[in-house]
Amino acid sequence: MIEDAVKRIDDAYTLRKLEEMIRINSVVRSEGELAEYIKAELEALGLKTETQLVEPGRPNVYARLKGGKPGKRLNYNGHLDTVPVVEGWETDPFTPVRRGDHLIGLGSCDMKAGFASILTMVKAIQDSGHKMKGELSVGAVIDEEAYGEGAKAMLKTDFAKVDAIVLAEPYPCDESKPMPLGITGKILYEVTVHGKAAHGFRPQHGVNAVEDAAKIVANLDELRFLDHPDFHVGNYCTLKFEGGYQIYSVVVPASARFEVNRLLVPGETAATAIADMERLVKGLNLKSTVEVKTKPPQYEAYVMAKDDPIIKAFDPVYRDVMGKAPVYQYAYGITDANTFAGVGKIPCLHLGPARGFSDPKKGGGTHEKNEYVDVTWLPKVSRMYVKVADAFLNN
Amino acid sequence: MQRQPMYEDLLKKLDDRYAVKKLEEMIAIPSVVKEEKELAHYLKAELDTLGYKTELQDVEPGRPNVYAKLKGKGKGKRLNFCGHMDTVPVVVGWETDPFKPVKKGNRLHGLGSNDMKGGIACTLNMLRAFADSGHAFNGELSFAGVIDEEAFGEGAKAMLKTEYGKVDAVVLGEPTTAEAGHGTPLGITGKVLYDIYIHGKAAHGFDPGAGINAVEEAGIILANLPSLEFKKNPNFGQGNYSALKIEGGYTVYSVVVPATCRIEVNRLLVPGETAEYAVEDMERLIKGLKLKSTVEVKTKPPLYASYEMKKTETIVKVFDEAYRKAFGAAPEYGYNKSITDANTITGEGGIPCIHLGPKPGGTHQKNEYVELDWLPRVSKAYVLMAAMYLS
Repeated sequence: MIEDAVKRIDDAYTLRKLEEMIRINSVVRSEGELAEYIKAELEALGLKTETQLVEPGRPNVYARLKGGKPGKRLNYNGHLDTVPVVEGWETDPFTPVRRGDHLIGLGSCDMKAGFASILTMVKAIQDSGHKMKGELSVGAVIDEEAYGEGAKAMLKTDFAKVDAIVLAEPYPCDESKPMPLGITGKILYEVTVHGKAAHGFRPQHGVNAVEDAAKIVANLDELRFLDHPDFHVGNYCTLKFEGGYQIYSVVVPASARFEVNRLLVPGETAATAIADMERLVKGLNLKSTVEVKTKPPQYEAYVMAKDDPIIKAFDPVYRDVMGKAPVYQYAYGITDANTFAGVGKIPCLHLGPARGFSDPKKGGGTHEKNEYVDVTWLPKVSRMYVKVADAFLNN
Repeated sequence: MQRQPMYEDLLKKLDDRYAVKKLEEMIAIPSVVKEEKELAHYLKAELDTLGYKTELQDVEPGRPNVYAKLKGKGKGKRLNFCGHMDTVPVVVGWETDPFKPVKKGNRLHGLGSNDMKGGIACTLNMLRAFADSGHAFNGELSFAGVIDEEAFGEGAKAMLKTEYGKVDAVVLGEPTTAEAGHGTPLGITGKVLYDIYIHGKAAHGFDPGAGINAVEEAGIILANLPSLEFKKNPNFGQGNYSALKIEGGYTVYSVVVPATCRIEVNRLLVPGETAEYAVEDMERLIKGLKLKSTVEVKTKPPLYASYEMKKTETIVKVFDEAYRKAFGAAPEYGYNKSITDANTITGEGGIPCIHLGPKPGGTHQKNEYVELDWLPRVSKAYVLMAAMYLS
């Protein structure tokens, strides 16, 4: 019975695992050691593990619990990597520091707490001897904070055929961070503008690539955004702009380039986005030649139905454990679901602890200095993981 | 008219082979901007030999100006022949060694051959003729070799702080031929380099509305530069602008709304426009854009003042006559946009300047050369100008 498994949830184990993981530096591109740790922990819990070397020194780790009877396949997934250390940490980012209910450390919330709860779930199920139908698996992937190569690599394995994924990202599915029923896609425009050099005192003899590039940037609000019934419109954000002399010299700049992030709603693709930018540029009648390209990372948008089986399993569990209804949203924040659901067409549930409060001076939120997780969330998350697995697989 | 025979005496002392020899020697002394020292010492030694009173002025450590003077018989005006010792750096593509004078027909190739060692060679020729001939003149004839013209004009600025900052007129040996299309300037535009800092607000790039994008607002400023207000000058028309540089955004890839951006815009100023006016003009433009960012409008060196001279200036009249005699044609005048040391000497120092030098080819480019058959006529014009002005 699932209640046996729930009773075997060991909250002290969760905290211990979380603290151990914080101590392991797994800044993006250095996931190897944490991958080893998770592999060892899963094996200690009696699971057979598989390693997939995505890039040299950077493996994904997988493990399965095969149930007794055939059935659906559910994967609990998380990314091994954290963002790099930013300036301003008051404590050592790799030493877990407890202040009241806050456990401070790099990746504490994003997303080692999620992994700790996944391990706790597996341990509880193993300890209780409770058998799930179908297959319950765990996936730990690299590179979510950079180019999503870990998730892409997982789609090349047999885990590409699972029926749903639970992403243990910090999504408490409340007002602070609702459960995404869909996420925007994203492309990164790379626009290069080619003008013509001339002496800067005679600008009329040249074509100023910086000025022409600036005209494009100043007119980005002419981009056409599809109005999606759920998402409404996407958005754009210029991330970088460079052009002009390296060593001081009064010369009309012959080239310039800029990058623009664009979030896409379902119905918009990289191709439509490029065509849109080209149309905008053409309408400006610039003297420069302009190349519109994109550069990685690139992500697909997706939507899921509100009555998707994983949601139907999740919703009552959330109400039961949290005592309130979950909040849903069409979201603007890229996660590995853009790969799993957007490309892989696997329905994804995002569920994890709440994020730390982001103080303008002290940080505390994800991707910020002094990142922390409120440990009172962990027992609730562990219980929800166990119950969602049961609800999805044993139905 | 009575002085004609004396001028002949001066003119007889001009030595075209000497001029070419000096030019070749100077080309073989690399003096890329910041490395003028060796050439300064060469010129001092040469002028010492010619009998001038010389001195060095350390403008910056290891970078001296060199001065030389010859006092005339009686009281009179003070005329200075000025030239910058520095050249631009070597660019890619030279077919010969830039520091070896190479003759190809009428052309002498070498870095600085026309800009402006050719002019200095003609000046040395004239100075030698003056010293050698014992020609009686009034006032003072001097030479100034200055550093840094190709960068920030520090040499000319330092000259203004010396006694040579009070001469009555200056002749600059830049390669200006006073031919049609290359008139000798009666005025030059000034220049200011705007250095504009835009401060926005960082936020996650997926939620751009939560931030203020400094790069996008910098783009708006650049796109609206045509709204700058240029004053109209009857001689120059109006100034112009050219964006030279922009930088803003992430150093390591990260989807963040850029919080800062910086742009540089060159602006040429006509007489009547000062740097202060230019800064106010830019601030007015930016204010009208109602941006969300805070914007600081600064300027960065080099900064040059514009100037205008009247054709009735004594040195201009003297030049006009000297040019006609030396070249057998009337000189062309113009109002130019090319910054020279005159922006400092005339624009700041108030000393009228004439630009005259041998005909150039490939200035600031690979395979730079000077037309050798211009050297004798330029030397002759220099002699006539000095003799007439200091009579």
